[in-house]
Amino acid sequence: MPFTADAVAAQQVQERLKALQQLVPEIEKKRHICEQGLSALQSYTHDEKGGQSSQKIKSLYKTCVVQAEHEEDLIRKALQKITEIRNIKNERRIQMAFQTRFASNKESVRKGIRMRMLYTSANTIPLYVGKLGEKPPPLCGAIPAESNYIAKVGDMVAALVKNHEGDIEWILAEVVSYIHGSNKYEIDDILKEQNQIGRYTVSKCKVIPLPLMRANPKTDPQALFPQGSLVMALFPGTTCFYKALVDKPPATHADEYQLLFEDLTYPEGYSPSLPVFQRYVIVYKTKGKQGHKSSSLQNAASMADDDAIGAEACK
Amino acid sequence: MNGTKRTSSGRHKIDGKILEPDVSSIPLIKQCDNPRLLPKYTSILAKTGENTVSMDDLDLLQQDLEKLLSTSAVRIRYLLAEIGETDKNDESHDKKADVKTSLKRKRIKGKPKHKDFKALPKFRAEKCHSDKFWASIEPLCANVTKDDVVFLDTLIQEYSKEIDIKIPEIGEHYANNWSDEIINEEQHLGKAHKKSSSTNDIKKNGLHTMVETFSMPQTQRLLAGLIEERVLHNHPKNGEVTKSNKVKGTDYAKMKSSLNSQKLGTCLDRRLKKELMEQGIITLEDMSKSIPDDEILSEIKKCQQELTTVNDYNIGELNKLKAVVENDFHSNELKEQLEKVDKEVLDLYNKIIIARKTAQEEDGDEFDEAIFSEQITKEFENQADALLKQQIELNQKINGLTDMQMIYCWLNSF
Repeated sequence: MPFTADAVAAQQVQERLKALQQLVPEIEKKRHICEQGLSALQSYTHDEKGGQSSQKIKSLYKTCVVQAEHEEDLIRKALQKITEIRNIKNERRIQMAFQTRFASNKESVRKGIRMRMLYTSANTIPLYVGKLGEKPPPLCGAIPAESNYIAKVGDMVAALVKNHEGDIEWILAEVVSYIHGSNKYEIDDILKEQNQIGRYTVSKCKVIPLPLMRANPKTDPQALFPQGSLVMALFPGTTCFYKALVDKPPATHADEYQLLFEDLTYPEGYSPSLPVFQRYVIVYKTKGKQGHKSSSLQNAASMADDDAIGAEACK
Repeated sequence: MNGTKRTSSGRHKIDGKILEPDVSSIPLIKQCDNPRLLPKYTSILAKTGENTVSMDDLDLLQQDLEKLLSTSAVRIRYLLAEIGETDKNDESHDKKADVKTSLKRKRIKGKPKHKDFKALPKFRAEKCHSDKFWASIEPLCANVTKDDVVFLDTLIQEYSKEIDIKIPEIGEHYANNWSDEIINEEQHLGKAHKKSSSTNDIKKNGLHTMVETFSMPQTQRLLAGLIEERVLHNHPKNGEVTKSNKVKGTDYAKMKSSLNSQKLGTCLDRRLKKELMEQGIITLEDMSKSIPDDEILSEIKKCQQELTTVNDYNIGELNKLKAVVENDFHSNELKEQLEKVDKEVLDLYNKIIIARKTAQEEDGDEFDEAIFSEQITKEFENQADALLKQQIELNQKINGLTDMQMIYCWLNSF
């Protein structure tokens, strides 16, 4: 078997799949223990005789906590394996893209497939479940990146660009490279095959990295945009970011935001509530002057109407 | 946080006391719900053999695992919150308990009255089991025994002994010792200058002041008499006397402060005494008579006097106590007798009852109350009368003995 990068990647993936396979029954075992612990607690507290001591209850609680922690550890391990597999695949994809870049062998992905990929990637970026007292890290849910953060190659970003039609908008893009000298990103429009201009060079301040992790509303609600906050979000069915109001934050980690997009075609000025994944909801960046307001959805993100905004943000 | 919300709603509050947590509200995906809630996870679990997890399974498996992770993370938060609640409850309980115990402690501290009962077996109010309490009280309330009488007798005997601690003879006054030392010193060193300067002082300050420095009152009187005579001879005018008095007044303090002259005075004292005795003006008897009242000696004597008084009082009290104890002892005996009589009375009563029953059974319907009492009761009547008389007598005796005064006496003797 040739020792190619592909083979190595496949090998690595296989190893992780196997580990995952072993982890699942172990998780089941821990779950069983947890359930037993809880039923012991239940039977003690619901004992008809009464006279339960708080010490005993406390110790039962503590046992349950320890058991749950063991369970949690294993689940985290399993999820880590899945993340690793995804990373390996992504690496491989980037490498492939790099190789084909010069070969002018453009990977042709149809829009439908591309959109499907966007949907799955939104669902499969890792879920952040904080431990007690832990602060959600940057790029988890609504937590923005640190100011000196530089998005990695292959990462998804929102970038302020002037498209082939001359409109300036926030598009969904993928980082190709970062030019340190000029503080600029080279980015690819996610729909570069369909759009005329595939690659842009934009300054760092016109690029907003998308979250790398989803926040769990049940454990880390502080990492979500609260109701009524102003955001930028990918309008369903498009690859552009527009201004929106949060109607409802997600209730569970699998849920989406319900957003009201700014749209002057509606009498209230907002669209009806639309679902958007956590991954495609980012902070509304500029407070710059509002430009001309077009009625078209494409131009709804009119805050991005000129470079001045970007320049302002860069300062 | 969701977890905390659940905590507050998941508890049953009855009378403000948290009784039991609602375990059913603890977040958990039950294993029986696996197929419904975790389809991919369940299917992978069901598979056997190698390569049960494929790349295509990842997305769905991830979802299931995330569901599990979220649930267990929320569960940990919930459980920790519950533990926190229990801790809080315990703390508040502890605080209450603390207040209680501190009160108890205060009460114990504030019982100095019982300090006198050191000999009593200690019992703590905190663990006031009735058994312990009565056990501690028992020796106080027990009947007086022969041993107690004997113990009192020995005490009285001991106290009645003469106090044969004699006060030792009074030795030489410490001031005399001092003057001896000074004389020795002067002889050895031969420092005439010091001596002359001190005598000069005396000359300067006048004779009256010198008189004051002599410790012996007799010497003082003698000297004063002599000096007065001379002064009167030389200066018969009253004014002069007052003048010399003035001198004495002003320089007196100076003289007093001079330790040297003080010692000198004592030396003079002794010498004077010696001279006077040689010339037969005072005899040895007079001297011994006029032995000064030594403060320490008189104090010792006083103490001894007090001691004897206290001892006498104690003996008196002990005697009283002994009388009371004997009295009590006697009354105890009477009580025992009374108890015996009481028992006999009861026995007699039972006998009568039995006799009546047997009579009833024997006679059947013909049983006549009047005849029965005439026939049978008469036999017992005399006995009963005797017993009752005895009982009354004893009762009277006991009542006579157990006087309130007696108890008072007993208490007083402590």
